[in-house]
Amino acid sequence: MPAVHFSFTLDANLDSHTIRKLGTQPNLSATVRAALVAYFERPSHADLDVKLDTILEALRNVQVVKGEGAPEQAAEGSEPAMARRGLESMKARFRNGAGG
Amino acid sequence: MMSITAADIGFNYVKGLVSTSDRRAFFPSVVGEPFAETFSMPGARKTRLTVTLDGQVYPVGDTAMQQSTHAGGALNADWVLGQTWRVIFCAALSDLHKASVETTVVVGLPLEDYTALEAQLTARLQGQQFAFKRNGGNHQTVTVKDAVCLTQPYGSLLDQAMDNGGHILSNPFSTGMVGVCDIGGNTLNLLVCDALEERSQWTRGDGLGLLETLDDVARAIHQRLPGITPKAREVSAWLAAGEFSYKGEKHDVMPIVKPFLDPLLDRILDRLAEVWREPGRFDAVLLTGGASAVLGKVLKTRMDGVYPNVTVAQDAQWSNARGYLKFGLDFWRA
Repeated sequence: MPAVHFSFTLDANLDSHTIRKLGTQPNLSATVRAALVAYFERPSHADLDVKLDTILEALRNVQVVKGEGAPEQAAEGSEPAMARRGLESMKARFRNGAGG
Repeated sequence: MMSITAADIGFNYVKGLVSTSDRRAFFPSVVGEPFAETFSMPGARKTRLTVTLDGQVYPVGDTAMQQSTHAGGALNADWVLGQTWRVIFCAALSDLHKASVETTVVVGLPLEDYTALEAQLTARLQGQQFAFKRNGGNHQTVTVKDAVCLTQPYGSLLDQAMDNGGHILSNPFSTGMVGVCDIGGNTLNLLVCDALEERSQWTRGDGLGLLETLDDVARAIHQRLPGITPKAREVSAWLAAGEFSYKGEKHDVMPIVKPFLDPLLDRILDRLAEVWREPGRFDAVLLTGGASAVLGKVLKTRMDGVYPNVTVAQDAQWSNARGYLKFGLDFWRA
């Protein structure tokens, strides 16, 4: 591959840990290339904010269901007739604004 | 099928559900001081809640409590006819609907206020368009094609008596003589129904003063622990949790609260004895409403033996809204 050379400086004291790590790398150029690519491609704060907002929005709409098992369902044709009459009476009262 | 929107807008919290999705609305019934709309909305992140209505931007819910020094909610019963209620209603709509839609709406009123306010509230909803923006985003218009207003405790009863599809179940709540004791942030609703039809002679609505009691508790906490000045709504959350944090340490809230709650429980029991004079006629009693999460267990202990089959509604603060939605599913079934 056509090679381009850069040089950079490390502080012998402040960067001593990095210097030690670099000394153990079998392919120093590959390590530095990978580190720089990861640095430049990392998400910005604005990107992270957008992701966080998306997650928070999704969480806001999560429905927490309490209780055990499936919700109770009315069996078809099993509606109690008295209760139906009572509900119909109340529906008429609420529609006419006389429920209270 | 057109969606059905169920909105339980209480003195304390807003609970909203919609038939066409799992979306929910849940935030404190509080609106902050409005400010003029500008092109830039600094900090208007999705985690915050503002509603733009009539050219004004209103912080709502937790956002109002955090940002405004003069956040206001329900003070009088007729708040349902004012701008604060309208802003809260639009905020709930913005939680439940993500685009401009047509919907039908079920709302509720406390028993005490139903006769005086139902017609006016329904007229403010039926056939009306609500045009607003959520968090400075796109314009949204929700058209209310039809609206019905129930009494709040009837919603709680239907939650027990109907399935999630709005069909009547066969159980003691649908077929029996049932007393519903609905303890809200500021109201005590006592409803009696026989096979889902109201028995007016045993049905009463009153102010209760739970919020005032919580104010007293908040002051007591401040006197004991001067490093915090809690609000009534915070105390309500601490009561549900049983504890609160002060300087990094957890404190049991009950020893502070008990001297204030006991007189409130006595008032409720006195009122029950006065209105429900013949407990032997009941098949079951349902304790519900947002405050029953706090008071329900203690109240049940004191009612057991006097009233039969006393049940504390599960996830009680959602009972009214779930019942409204079930009512709507039956009411507008094609």
